[in-house]
Amino acid sequence: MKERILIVDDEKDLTELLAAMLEPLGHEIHCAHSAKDALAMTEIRPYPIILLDIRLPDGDGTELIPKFKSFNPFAQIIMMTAYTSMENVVYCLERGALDYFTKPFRDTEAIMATIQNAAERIARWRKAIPMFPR
Amino acid sequence: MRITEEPKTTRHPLSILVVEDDEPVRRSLAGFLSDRYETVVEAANGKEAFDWLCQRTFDAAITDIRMPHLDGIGLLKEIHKNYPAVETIVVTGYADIDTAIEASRHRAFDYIRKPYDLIQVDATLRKILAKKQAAEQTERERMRIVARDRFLALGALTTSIMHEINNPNAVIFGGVELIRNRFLAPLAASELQNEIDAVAGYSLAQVTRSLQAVKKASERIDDLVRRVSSIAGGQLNVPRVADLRENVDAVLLSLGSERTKNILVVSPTSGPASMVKAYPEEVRQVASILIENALEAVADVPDPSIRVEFGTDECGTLAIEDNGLGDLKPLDRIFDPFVTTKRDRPGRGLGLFIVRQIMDQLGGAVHAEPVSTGGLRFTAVWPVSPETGA
Repeated sequence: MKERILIVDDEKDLTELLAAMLEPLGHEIHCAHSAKDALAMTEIRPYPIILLDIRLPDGDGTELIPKFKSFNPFAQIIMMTAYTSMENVVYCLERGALDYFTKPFRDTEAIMATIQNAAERIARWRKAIPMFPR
Repeated sequence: MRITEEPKTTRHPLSILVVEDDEPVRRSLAGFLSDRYETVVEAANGKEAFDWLCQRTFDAAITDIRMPHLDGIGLLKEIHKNYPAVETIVVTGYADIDTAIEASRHRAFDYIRKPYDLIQVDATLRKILAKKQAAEQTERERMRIVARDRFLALGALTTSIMHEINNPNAVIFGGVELIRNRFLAPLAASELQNEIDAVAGYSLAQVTRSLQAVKKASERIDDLVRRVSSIAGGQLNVPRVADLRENVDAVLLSLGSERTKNILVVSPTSGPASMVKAYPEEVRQVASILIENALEAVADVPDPSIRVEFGTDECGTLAIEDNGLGDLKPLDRIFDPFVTTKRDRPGRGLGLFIVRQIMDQLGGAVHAEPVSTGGLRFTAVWPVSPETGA
């Protein structure tokens, strides 16, 4: 199932890599390099799947989670960050993130699997819920 | 010429040069002093004194005025010019005003009449000792602040460099993984393998091996970044949230009860938790710089008092007020680099600069104002985290 995916990271090379990684899976990939751009793009049309960096040049990625969820409560948000600790993971999951990956990605296959799972879940909901956000 | 230097625990750590041409007088004075001070060196005239000054370091010189071979005033000039750290006490039988003026022009510490009043000499030397010890204390304190500022600056710099390295490295690592897993591995497993090897001139196995080397190198960079970041204490890509009160308390605790005995902490008894949008280290850095500055400002006032106040309103405010001697003059410039508020205790002028940098970076504000007690009040306003009240 083809889904629209938003990748939010200020590192353009990384969004490029992730786009190259996910396009072959059949998805439509959009990139934003700041919190402002990400919100503007979401306002036009909410994304069902979002890959989100925590430290953005103009804000904290974790604060975007509730905003994305307010546009689309079904949004599957996957966090990306340089370092990890239990507190950080819990912090993001408590705010509604689906998963959490550290950069550099030790396991690109796991990221792709997570995206695919999210896409399948969205597809299932889309089928079951007539009013699912387009 | 005699030198008395015996270790005795009760003697004060001062090195004294006694310059007097009258030998019995000199002997008795030196004898009296050597019971009380660690090092006492005798010289019979200015010339001998000059030779001693070239050889050793002295804290104080007691000199007669009228002497053969370089008189007292000549010696004073020499000391003032070339050995400014040596405090001088001028002694003369001729209690004339001109000598006193001439002596004070060469920065003499004190002026004593003959015959020697030993108690007065001792009292003056005690003052010199106190001055020396205060100067040493100031220097130790200054070195500690310099070391702290340098460490903080270095830590912040290192963290940001590591962040800059980590991002491109993430791209390299991820790219290699993608090519290996999604491209090379399926090709190597396919029947096309031999054809590809023939066309490319390299075997897929060789390309896979070289990519493996790139991946290993990228892993080494990753290890390095992690190790250096953990040493620098920096935090990359973690949520910016900290408990203001808790982190300020941690700073106060780390200073120890002796240094914080004059600090009064004022905080609202109830109200929302003081969660602010900052990293815990940022809160601790700002609090530690402001509190240590306040401690320095009150170091010389008779009734030192410092107030650490937490705001009662919704926003996270931390105010630190002292009744000390912080310099008010450059009030609009005190957050600039290399501008110091410390009148007599020179810092490097980087502490408040770091505070301003941190507060600007996290979208807060800091300002200073003079208060009626003569001291300064610094107020740091932190952006509040959505955690507040939760």
